[in-house]
Amino acid sequence: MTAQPAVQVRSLGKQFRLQRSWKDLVLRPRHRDIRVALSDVDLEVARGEFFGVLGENGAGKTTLFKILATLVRPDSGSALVGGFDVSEEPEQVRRLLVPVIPAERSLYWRLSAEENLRLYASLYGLGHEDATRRISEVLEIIGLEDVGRKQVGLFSSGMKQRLLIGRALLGRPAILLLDEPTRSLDPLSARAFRTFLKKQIGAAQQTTVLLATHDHEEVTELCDRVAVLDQGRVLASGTTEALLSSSRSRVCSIWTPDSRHPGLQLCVERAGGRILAVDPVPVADGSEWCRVRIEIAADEAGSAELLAALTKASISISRFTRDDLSLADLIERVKADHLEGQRKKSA
Amino acid sequence: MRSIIALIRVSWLTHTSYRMNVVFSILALGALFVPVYLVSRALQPVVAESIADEGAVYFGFLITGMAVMQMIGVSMRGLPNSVSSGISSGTLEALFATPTPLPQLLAGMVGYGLLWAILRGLLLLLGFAIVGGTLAVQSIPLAGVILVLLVLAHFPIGIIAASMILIFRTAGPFVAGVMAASSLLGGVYYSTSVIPDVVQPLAAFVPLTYGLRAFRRTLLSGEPLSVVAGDVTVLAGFTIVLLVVSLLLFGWSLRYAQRAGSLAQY
Repeated sequence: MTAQPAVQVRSLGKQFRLQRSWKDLVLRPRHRDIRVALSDVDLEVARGEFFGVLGENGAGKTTLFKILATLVRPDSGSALVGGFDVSEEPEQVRRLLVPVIPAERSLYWRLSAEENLRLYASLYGLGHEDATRRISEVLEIIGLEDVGRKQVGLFSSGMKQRLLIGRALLGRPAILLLDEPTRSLDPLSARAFRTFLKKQIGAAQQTTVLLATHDHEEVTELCDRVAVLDQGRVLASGTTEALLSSSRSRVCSIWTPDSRHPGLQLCVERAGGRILAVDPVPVADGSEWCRVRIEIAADEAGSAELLAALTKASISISRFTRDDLSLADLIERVKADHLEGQRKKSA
Repeated sequence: MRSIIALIRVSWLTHTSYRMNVVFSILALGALFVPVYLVSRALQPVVAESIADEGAVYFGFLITGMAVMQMIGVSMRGLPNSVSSGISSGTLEALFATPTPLPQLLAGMVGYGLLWAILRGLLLLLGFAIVGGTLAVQSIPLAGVILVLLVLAHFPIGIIAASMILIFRTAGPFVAGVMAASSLLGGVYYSTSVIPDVVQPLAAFVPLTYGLRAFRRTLLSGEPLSVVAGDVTVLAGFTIVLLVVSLLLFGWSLRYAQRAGSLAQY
């Protein structure tokens, strides 16, 4: 028998009516401006999995999370959390799944971390003694045990983010929703936060985590699988490694003083690639070195062919690297592949 | 019940963390009390006849009216204020995402404000007794029941305003309008019997008219339940109808906000 998935989304759809100007309301009173937030979304997240949801702003990530958290009602399709339907059985869903509301202002800044947690412990139905025990456990998990009695208003952004997660952990949720948890953190705090998520939430608690993010490091370090959302549709999903490696091998960089060499473009085209960008690299002697980013064929032979062609054309190269794709590149690539697939299908 | 107490406790801790706020709030009562005492003494001969049924002492009449007005003011404003600030800060989403039932959340969100207003109202009545005003001690339990009914009868106005905030992001002048109508037509500062004939019928549609009259007759004149039963029945009728209508409206507006995705939009 297959285990029940933590989250199962089938053909989920959601549209929002857009606010219109006064002029538009007068001129076209019966008209409706609609934005499609989610369209025919299918997803399945296994128990204990770290699942990343990627996409640009407005791709539908937050709407998906709000539907799962029962804060927004879907128009069509279904979303099951631990087997419970978000529209039909919201109370049961709220016992299993907790969204980490990313708003720091949703904390009570005049109160201590402990007092903030005590309120939510009561709202999750914990008795006084259970709450006391759980609050100290949670403060230890989120690394705020030494500042539990300090006023939250005096906390740094990173500490408040941890407290928001701690608040969500109080009721021992089976599933945690994290919407861009490191967006307001500096790089060092973000790294510490990722380590915390991996060790304390993933490994120690065995909590299923759905993570909406724009951050490449969050995806590579944390997520077992990812889905790419664009304009409310899932364009691709799979293991993080597979999705990243399928695109990683296509982009490389060469460092050359001959970026204006007429043969460069020709060599790249002959190898079945295209130049993505030419960025000047500052060099001490003042010579014009550039980093040229090139998209090539997806296999090793493509790079070998390109290197051979460049050498034959006497183009000087000091370095050749395979690039890690930025998340933006990855999303662009997935979108391009999706369009290509659709074109082929219609042809 | 535990969640209601926890929400009230958090509001109390937050409120008392602004120490001067608490001090000023109490001092304001004193600042209110003195001029009311002086003005009511000056006007006593003019209004004595019109308030003969409601304690006959204008100072007591005014103090009870103002104490009740404070309480029902919070009863009407508390929920829309909490919902509005909760939407802006994200607190509302965080609360709604917990398994706590909605009625408990709503009660907890307004509980502290209401208790604080009741305390302030009681301090006003205590001040009245201290300066020699007469309260019918044996009628305090009945007056307490009438007060609870009064607060409950006005809470639906707050629920309706909160529903409007969920849908339109504002309740406009709704609460302020009801408060103004209640204070002008409900007999807070003068007896409803002296309201001009043209607007007199409107007073019949204001729950405060019945509640305040019954409250004063009970607490200031010591009238038994048999005398105020008519007013209490009408007040209870208002309470039931308004509560049912407002809760239905709130449920509908919450579903609307969930469909429109506007629970956390400013």
